[in-house]
Amino acid sequence: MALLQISEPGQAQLKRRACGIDLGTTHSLVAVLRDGQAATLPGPDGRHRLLSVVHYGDGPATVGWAAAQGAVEDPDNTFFSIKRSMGRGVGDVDDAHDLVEDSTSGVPRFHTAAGPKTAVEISADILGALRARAEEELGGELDGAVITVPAYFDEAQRQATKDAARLAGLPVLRLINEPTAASIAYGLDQEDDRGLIAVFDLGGGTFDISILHLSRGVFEVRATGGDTELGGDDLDRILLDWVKEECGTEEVDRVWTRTILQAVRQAREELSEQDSARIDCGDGKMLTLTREELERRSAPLLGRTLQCCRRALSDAGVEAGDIQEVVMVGGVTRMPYLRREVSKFFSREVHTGIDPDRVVALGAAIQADALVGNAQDQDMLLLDVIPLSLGIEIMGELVERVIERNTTIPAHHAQEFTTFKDGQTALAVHVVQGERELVSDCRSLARFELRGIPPMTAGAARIRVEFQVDADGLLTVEATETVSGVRAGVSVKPSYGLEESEIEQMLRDSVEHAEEDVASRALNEQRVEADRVVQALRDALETDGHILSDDAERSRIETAARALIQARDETDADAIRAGIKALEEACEPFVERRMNRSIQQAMQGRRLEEFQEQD
Amino acid sequence: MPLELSQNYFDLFRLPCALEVDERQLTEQYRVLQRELHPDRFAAAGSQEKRLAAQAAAHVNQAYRTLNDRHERATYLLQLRGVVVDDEKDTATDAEFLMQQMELREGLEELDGLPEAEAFGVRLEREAGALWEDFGTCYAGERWLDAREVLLKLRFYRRLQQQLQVRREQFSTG
Repeated sequence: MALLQISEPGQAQLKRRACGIDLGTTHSLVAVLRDGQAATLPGPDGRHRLLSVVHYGDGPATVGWAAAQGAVEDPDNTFFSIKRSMGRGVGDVDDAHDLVEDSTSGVPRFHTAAGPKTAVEISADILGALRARAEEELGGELDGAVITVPAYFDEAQRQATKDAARLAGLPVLRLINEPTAASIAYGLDQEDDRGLIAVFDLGGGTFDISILHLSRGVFEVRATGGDTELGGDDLDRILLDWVKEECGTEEVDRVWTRTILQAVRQAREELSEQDSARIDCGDGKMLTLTREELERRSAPLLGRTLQCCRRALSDAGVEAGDIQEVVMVGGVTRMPYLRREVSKFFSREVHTGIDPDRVVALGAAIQADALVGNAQDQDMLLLDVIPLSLGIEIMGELVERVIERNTTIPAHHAQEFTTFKDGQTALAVHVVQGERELVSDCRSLARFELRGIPPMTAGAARIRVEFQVDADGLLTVEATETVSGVRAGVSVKPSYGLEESEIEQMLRDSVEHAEEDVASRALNEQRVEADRVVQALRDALETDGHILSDDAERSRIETAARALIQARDETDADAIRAGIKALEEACEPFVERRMNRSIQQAMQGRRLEEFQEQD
Repeated sequence: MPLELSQNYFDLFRLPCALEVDERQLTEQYRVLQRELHPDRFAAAGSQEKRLAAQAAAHVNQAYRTLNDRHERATYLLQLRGVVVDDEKDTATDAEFLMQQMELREGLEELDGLPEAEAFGVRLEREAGALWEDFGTCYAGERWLDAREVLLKLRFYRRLQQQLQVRREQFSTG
């Protein structure tokens, strides 16, 4: 049961400030709800789409069109498509920039005029620009944000996105998958049993296909698939090669490449509306690109999207003909050729009613508004899945899968393993993600060790490894030797993820840059959290105060709450943190009792009977 | 876990403990449970609520996944009777069935085109259907170990059906 805000009689309901953010490879958007309608917000230049480009110069970072314009003069300090480097190691990132030597966590740092920057920091600058738009529109600090990620993003990429949000000072309510956000925006859940829908999402850098089942506000993802390295950017590279061929150019520099990439993108976009487009290759050379040529060149790449669709359908246990609606998302889906091919594949017309560039941000805004607690009577529920299987390394560098791909989250699974040597007292746990049998073919997520196992003969120890995936798709792993009770665990910090200390350092650096006081920011964060905890408790007591066991329990809770409220009005962030912890401890039995009551009500099918009466 | 979630999956979904389940009831009750327990319902609540909700929702997801799949459901039914079926290690031991397995595998390998694959699929479906009937009979007669043997055969059929699906895709995409 959701904790609803209850306003005092005669007092207007306080609206909380929430926004939805589509952090895209080539461009990003922010949307909020205005009078119940989701709308994207323009920047100072009037444009809604913020180019996901960041430039570092002498002053603060510039983001968007201004940064892109400077790219031609200063490509070394200008970052395009940084999303592709999120959660990735040195070997995986774009080689167009110079890397600073490895940091301790293995996260690549790019050399810039403003010092070394990670993809997380660069993304945080984009998020910061969007946050400013939302705060200006809503008139104050945000209470919550929903950020979208490609459904096919792995653990490391999701964690990196969350870290970027933290650096940007965004209170993240949830990461949701882009296709799910798009289907929310279309409101396809409004009709009863809409059935199966497919969301085909081809953006600047990534491709996602999701098969969802929609019924009365429940968005249940059945299967998801895709390719995080397939998008408009790749089409532009193919066209770049075509330009090189046509011009007979071999030797090229970064400036030329950047200029041509911008020119071919523009031509590609124009070809959705017209049959041919002109490309200026410099030195007075003009080329004409026809729609036919574009289609011929891009067919192999776009064919890969249909292969992904086949696999997703098969994972969902359905056939193309079972799909009742097809939603197109992402700028590349404006291509008439692609619309035709997808329409042919599913044998039905595709939905293109909402601007494919904005649809994801709009859906995220609706979900953010619901999660932050503004929607009083919301019945929307998203049941997402993990896109890639999670497993651990076993003998012979093989992978034992613990949670299969397309498992609905939150998910929990435990599996038992044993030792292979006599007297073995430690066990290395290596967590990987992917579908292949060999560890080397999967992505390494984390490693930790379980030590202090009492010496036993090989195979006698019982090591229980528990995987817990939360609603954002982030993983925690714990290992316990059940005979002796020795435990070890990690909140999985991906192998190419930032250490907590690094994030804190970045936070310090970034606020210094913004001439904001670190301490005041920390204090403010704790105050916001304290207010939230106290408000949630008030609501809980209002609705369920009668299930307190006795007056002693009530007074324990009230004492802790008063102490917290007092600490909140003083200026010690650590004292507030301690106050929150103390209040949570005092509330623990009450919270458990409330949760159990929700469980009992749900299990008794109270709500089910209500539904059936409505039928 | 302090949560009072029913540990028996069938009870959780208010379903009788049987191989055949009312799928509508299963799905409706799943949504009811998730509407109440999903962590998103606690987005504005404290961290304890969120943590408990995540535990509860994960349990419900696991239960739903188990009951929503015939094989998993059958395995779970036997597990409730104290009979464990290990997917990895256990295989059917029946000698006659071993011969049949070899014959079926060869059949799959020798397929030559989509029409043949479709026909092979029909055959697998028919034979698996008969085995499911056997499973029902063994289960009803409380012959748990016989039921287990039938289930292991069915697992072989399922794997074969998955392999057939891959072949089908190969044929249809050329």
